[in-house]
Amino acid sequence: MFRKFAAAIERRSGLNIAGLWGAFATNFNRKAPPHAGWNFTLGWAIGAVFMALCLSGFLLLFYYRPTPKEAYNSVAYITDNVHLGWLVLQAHRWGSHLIVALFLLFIARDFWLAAYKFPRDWAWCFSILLFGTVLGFGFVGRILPWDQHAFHATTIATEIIRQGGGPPGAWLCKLLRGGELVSGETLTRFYVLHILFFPGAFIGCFVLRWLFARPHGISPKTSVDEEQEKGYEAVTSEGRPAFPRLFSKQWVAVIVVLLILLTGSILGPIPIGEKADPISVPDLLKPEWYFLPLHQLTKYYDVWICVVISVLVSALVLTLPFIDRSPNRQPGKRKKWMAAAGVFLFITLLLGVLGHLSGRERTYFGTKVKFTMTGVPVKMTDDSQDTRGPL
Amino acid sequence: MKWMYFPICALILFPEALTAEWKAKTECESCHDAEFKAYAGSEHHLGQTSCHDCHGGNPEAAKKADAHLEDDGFQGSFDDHVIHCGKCHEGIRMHYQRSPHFEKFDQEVFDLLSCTTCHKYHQVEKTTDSWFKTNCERCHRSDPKEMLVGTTFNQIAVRNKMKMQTMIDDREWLLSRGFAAASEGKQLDLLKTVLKQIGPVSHAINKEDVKKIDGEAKPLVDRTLLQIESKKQSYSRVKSLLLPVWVVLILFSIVLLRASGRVPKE
Repeated sequence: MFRKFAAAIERRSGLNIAGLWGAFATNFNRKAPPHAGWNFTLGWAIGAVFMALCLSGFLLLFYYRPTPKEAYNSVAYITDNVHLGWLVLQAHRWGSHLIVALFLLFIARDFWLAAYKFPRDWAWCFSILLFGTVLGFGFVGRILPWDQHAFHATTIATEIIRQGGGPPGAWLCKLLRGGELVSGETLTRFYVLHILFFPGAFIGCFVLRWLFARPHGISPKTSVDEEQEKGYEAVTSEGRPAFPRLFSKQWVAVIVVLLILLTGSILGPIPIGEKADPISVPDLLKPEWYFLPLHQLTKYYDVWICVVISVLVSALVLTLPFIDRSPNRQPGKRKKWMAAAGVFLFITLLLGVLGHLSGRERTYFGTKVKFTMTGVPVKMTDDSQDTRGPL
Repeated sequence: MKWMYFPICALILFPEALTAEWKAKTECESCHDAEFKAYAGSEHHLGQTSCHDCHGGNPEAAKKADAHLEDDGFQGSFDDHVIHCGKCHEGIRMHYQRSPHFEKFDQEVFDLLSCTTCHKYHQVEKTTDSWFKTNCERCHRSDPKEMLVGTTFNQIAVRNKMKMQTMIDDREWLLSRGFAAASEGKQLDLLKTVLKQIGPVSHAINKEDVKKIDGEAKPLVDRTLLQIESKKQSYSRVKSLLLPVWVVLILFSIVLLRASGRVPKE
């Protein structure tokens, strides 16, 4: 049936559908290395969350209106009046966080297994670009509900670009904002980027990544030279075909990640704040968790230094396959890179934790502590808080 | 020296034992057991208003005589609760002193009608639905035939305060569940304004104000309560489906993994 249909298409259009299917099938029939288990289900999980985001985003588009007057009210209409609108909106918000977390694990896994080395080096570059588009989605999507936090967080984020990027930064900031300040122009621009530019960029990067990764299969643990000399079939002779064992694990990962998305949306929804008011700034303004380390860094150094650091780190990660040219893939034989990654991870986590705690009050062993904006804990005295009101 | 570990561990586990406030409570409690039991869990207790905040005295004194020195501002009982409570609850005192309740109190028609008549001494309670019913109905009966004084309980504005407070609590719940507040934002703002007025009005008991608030609040309350109820129902319906979905999909996953594991290596 399928063959007949494929042949009918080929006769009329010249497109070899059966050949395209064969390209997929090769991956499943080819042997996967023995270490490919649950760790190689992350890509499928990301794909599943992306599909969930596309579907929920598509449904939200029916009701959302990208103007400053109507944006917040339309989001409120979705949650309050549309049947199950709150669930769709929460799935979209949870998905945006989940996809970043899964992508970080994905990149960490590829780094650990040195899957960025030849011949999968270009595939790594497109993975990083894909991650960039995911962050871009989050950056431009955050302002769409037009609530207090979204408005002022976007003001700060674009201000970082303006202050830290020199003349090109100032130009980019003006381009993004559509003027000197965050306004309705910004909302429309970010909306168009969110629903047209970034989906296109994501799908483009995904297709290119797939084209560059597919012919080479899952990265083995042997060195680059050994893989080139003996061939992929020889170095993965210990493994089993990806179908059905790895294939079924990948589907189970899809099921589990969608269940997490659903459960999170129902039991731990992310509330929407008050409507955006450009004049009153909320007390505690923090970006999304994945931008927290960079935001915290701006409190210690000049903004331009932070921008330079983040651009350098991004460039290093993107061009990693061309900098680390050693043939070894075993983590034990790449101690220098592992140590560098460990230090980077520690600093990022530390900045993230400090960023999370800064400006908040906490009680440890009965002692009230307030963290300053730079994350330094200061003991609070009883006088600083009066619990009795006049009424 | 091993015995030293016990107090050290105790201090690590309960460092608040070192603070004066804790000591004060236990010192007062050692003689005033009944009062402390009434105070425990009260609104004052939860708000960390301690014994000496109202009664003065020295909470850190070890001896009974030292704890109750008048030089330390000690006062065992109060002649005028309205003045004494009004030291902290200044706004409430002003409104109350303009109310018919206060007039009656002042004229000594009801010589007991002061703050503590409704709010009690030590077990100061939060004003909830049941609180209003218990306290207001003592004089303002629901059944007009049994009415002792003034107007019936059902007619007074405190009923709406209860409804509105419940609704605002519900809205907090809805917000924490991720529902936006905008479409009802204006209603909520108005309700909050009305609720702010009700506190003073219920103490000042000005009939015109009560009528005004009653008229403003009633349609709002009814409409918003209906919306909240439908949302809660929608949420609980979806939530009840969550567990079955988990069970079915996890069972399916287990079957899938077991079936694929049976495929021979070659």
